[in-house]
Amino acid sequence: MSSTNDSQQYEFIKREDEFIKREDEEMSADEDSDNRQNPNNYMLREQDRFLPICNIIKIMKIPVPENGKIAKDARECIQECVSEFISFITSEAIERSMSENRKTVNGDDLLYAFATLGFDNYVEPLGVYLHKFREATKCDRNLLSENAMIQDDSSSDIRKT
Amino acid sequence: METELPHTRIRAIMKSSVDTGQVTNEVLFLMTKSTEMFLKHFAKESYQHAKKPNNLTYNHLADLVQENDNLAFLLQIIPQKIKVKEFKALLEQGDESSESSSDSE
Repeated sequence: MSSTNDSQQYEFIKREDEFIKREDEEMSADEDSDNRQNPNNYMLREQDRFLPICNIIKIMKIPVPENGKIAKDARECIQECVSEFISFITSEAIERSMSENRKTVNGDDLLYAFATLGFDNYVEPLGVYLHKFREATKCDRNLLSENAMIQDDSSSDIRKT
Repeated sequence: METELPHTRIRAIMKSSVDTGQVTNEVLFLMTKSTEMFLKHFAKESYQHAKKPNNLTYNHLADLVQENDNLAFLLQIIPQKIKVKEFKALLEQGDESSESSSDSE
């Protein structure tokens, strides 16, 4: 009699343990998903602050003679410069969009930022890129809505004038 | 429409500024392209500084930043190298000026 009672009790305790354990697991899972979804918890890791050095070197080698080398101290420095460049331009573009009471920065804000910050020679080629990009994405959208020809013709006419 | 640099990383850097709302694909693409252009310009012009040794060093970059007004935002990141003696002299100057200013107060 007592032995069965004991085993029952034991089983009950075991089940309770299991229940607690499962609850713990659910809790931790919740926390994980919270971290992923909550943008306020988003922290930039040190290695994410900079662009990969191999890509940077690859681009820098394009305009220079083949035997050109880049010293190690220059490499690290350039990485930092590029990140600073991006933040610098971005903050100027944000300021412009905010001054016009818009919440989202657009391509024209970026061009404006380049012009005001003394990068005049970037504005023209970037304008061409912006135009190309808008054309390309417009084509994509039109293909989706299945009346590509009509819309494409009319909108490109508007753009030309 | 091909780009050499990873979009995700550029988006992360843009987001690190305060008040950045959504970063649209259009802006992201333009930023990537302009970063590539910036790198090319930067490399080309600093190599002109290097000339002879054909090895780009920190000092070449510092010279370039010093000379160009539109690169002034990089002055804090790439200051000119100075000797310890000069730095000490600067520090002493700074001390003197701060002392004199505190005296005047």
